[in-house]
Amino acid sequence: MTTPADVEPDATDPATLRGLFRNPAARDYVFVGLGALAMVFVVLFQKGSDLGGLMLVLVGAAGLVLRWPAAPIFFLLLLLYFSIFPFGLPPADENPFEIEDGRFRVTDLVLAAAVVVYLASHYRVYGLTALAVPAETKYPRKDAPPARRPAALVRRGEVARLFYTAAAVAVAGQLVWLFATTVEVDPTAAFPLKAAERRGRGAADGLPPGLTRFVLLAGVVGVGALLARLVFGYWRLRRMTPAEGGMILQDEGWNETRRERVRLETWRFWARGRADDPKRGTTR
Amino acid sequence: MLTARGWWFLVVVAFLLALGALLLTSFTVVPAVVGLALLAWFAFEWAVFQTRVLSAATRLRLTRRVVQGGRDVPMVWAGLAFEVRVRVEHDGAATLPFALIEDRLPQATDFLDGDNDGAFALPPGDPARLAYRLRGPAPGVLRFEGAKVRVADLHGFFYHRTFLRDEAEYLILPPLSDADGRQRADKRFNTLPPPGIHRLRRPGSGGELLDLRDYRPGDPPKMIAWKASARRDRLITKEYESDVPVRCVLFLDTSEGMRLGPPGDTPLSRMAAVASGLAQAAAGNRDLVGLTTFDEHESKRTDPARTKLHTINLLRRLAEVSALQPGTAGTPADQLTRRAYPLAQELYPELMSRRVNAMPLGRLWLPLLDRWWGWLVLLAVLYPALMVGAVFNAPRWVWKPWVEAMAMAAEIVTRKKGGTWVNFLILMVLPVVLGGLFWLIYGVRGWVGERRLRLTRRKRLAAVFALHDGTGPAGIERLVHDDEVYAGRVGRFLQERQIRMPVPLYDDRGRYRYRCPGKARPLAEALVRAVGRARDNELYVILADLAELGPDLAPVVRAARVARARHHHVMVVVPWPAGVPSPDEADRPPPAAAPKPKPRAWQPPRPPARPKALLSVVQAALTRQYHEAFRAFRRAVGQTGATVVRVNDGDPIQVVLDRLDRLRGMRSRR
Repeated sequence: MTTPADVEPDATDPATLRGLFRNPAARDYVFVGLGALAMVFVVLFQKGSDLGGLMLVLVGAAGLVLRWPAAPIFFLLLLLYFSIFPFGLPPADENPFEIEDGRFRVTDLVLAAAVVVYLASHYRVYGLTALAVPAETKYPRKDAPPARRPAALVRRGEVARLFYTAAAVAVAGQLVWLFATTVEVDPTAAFPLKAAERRGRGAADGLPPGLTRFVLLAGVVGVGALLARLVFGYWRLRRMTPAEGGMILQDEGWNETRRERVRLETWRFWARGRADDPKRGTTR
Repeated sequence: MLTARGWWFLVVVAFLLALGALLLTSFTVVPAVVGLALLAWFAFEWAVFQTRVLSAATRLRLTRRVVQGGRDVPMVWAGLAFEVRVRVEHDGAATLPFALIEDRLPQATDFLDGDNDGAFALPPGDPARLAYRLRGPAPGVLRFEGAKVRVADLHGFFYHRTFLRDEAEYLILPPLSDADGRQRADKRFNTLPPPGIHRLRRPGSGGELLDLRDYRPGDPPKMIAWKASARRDRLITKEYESDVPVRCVLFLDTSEGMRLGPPGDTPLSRMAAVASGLAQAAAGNRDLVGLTTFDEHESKRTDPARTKLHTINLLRRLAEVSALQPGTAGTPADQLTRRAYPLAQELYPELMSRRVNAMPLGRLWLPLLDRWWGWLVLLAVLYPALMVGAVFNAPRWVWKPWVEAMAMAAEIVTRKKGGTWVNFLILMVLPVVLGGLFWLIYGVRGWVGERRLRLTRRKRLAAVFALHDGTGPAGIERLVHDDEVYAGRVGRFLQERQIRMPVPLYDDRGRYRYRCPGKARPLAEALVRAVGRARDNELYVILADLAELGPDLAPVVRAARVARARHHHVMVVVPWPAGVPSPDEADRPPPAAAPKPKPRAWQPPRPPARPKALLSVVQAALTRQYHEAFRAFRRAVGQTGATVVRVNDGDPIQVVLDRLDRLRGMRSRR
């Protein structure tokens, strides 16, 4: 479905506040985001953080409707704070069995999925109403129109796919967390991973649990990035144009021989200077 | 490519995850779980974006059509609108949900209406279409480079830019001359005049009576006008018009001085439009028209002919020369880089990226030994080694004073026993440390500042040029080192894309750089050659900027004399610079000033008159200088019997044609 950008009438232009709710595509995402915020509030309320839930809803809704680009960052930082201090003020409640209890906890799953849905809705609404593609230059002209995604390009089923994706990544996050908390790193063993034996914090003969989790998570991220790099890097090599390939080879050849070439060019320059002015014999 | 939005998101998520997984697990696992979910979402979106880019964006293809008069055309007419239709599609497996496509507009054209950019979703097999209308105001070359495509994901985390190169050139032919074209086409006469029947009022063997004159011995008796002779009581001879077609040869100056100005509005393009009008008017008269273009080095000739194909070829040639741009000799390399680098980044994003066109830090390091005093620093760094080597290998008289002087210095510095050896060692090592530190700071300065930027940009441009020219790594270093070669190559790059370049008009001594005296000789040779090939009734129209040649004009004057001696007509059409008043206006006396009031017996002292602004003084001096040069030129050319015509910016071709017609009629009566 190919649709030119400027086919929308002004009344449904999502760049305006009224158009945000009149334009069907933008309105869908706004309501999806508000629904996700409501879910976040419910989860936090259930955890006893009614103040946190309210603040998150306020910040999130304001950012969504007013197209505040920094809203997701503040939203995540507020979420972090109220996760640690549910009642808004220190001290935090310590639970030595939080890791075991937190595996596949339904409220956490719902919260993670709701956060993903809210953030995706916010960024998509922002792309529809303000800026979808960064500016080409560092200092764009003031009268240059912003590159927005036309609402007419919103495909049918995007919202449903967003829900599926949010559910899938919430489960994937839980699986990775399960892996990180049920496996320990043993640097002295032949195979450096083993099942976690004891509950609670601290291991007598291995790495501290926090460091173990960090190493495991860094390993998961690193191996995943390496695999992705291998796959997409090879794919990119396959799709490389002859000009790009030629440029890589030429650049490598230049890099290997540049010192000699610099010397040659310097000598050539001196020789030309002497040829131009044989009495002086100096360089230009 | 990750956008700023993507970077911020990734940083915050990493912070959330690190904090949640390392420190907060005793209190809550929510940050870790949410962070992992967000990280998984980010990774998923990245993978999807990469898949879309590699499977669809790298397979994008562009096709372009230029439509004028309802059909595809290989060239367009100046002054008439034409439509550009662009189609972008791909045959990949994925869909690009959001792509911004912008077709790069050619230079020196007027955008009329339509859209040359738009946002599209690009599923496989469903093309995106753009259509817009342009108009070429002046003859030249219409060059399309391609379309810029920007692909982003729905959240603005990732971004990919590519350029679909579709370099295509279309000639913008000079406009069909309206006045004379329509005059001949509206059937004022029932048929077109046959060859040779036109108003060339010159004695010949035609059928139309031209004039009566006194009988001269040798005139054929059949030409005697008996009735007129009887009335005047002396023999009168009839003269008839010539029925030999006029052969009109145009000499068009394409030297560097004619190419100055914005593309499409140079003196050359204006003179090409005049030449086009002249050629079409002459063709309308069924005269034969030829064209010779010349510059400082050579001339190219097209023999006079009369066919339509010949006329089209003349127009093509005029369009080609109209697009010529001045050379870049003398232009500082940095100025050229400032124009060329953004253009290269836009046209060749994949070749200008750091991934394939890198600049290593080692190349940016400032070499100290390029300076003569750098060797002194090297000496300081090698000082201990030299001393040790001297002690063990050189004769005693070489190193003994040296070591003793150092020991004395150490004694003086120490001023107490026990620390002498330490200070001796410090004195040994100090030059090494200071020299090395100086060397390091000197070299590292190349990694920052303007030089780094300049050298990096130049190397990247040089790499692209070397790849296109096939000169390889040697070509890169040659372009980086040699300003002349680099300026020439960058100039060619900009010229091909019709980008206006900064050219210095005056040299170091303040002389005008675009006088181009060398063009007089090719012009004279071409004129003499045309005379040698001439038949009868030749008309030579020289469209050239010769006003400032001065004594270098001599070959042209001699050639014009040769042409006039063979009874040909010569006309010189000179482009008059914009903003310079006509010499006739300058000669006109100023309006009479109001009568001064009768001076009183005593007047208070007046303040001295304020000096004029420097710019206006210089402008007036330059104008006066140009007027004098033009008068001298007109005098020199006029003495040969040729006519000089000025063409101002606002002069329509019709004015020149009228002058030509008048000239042809007037000359025949002499």
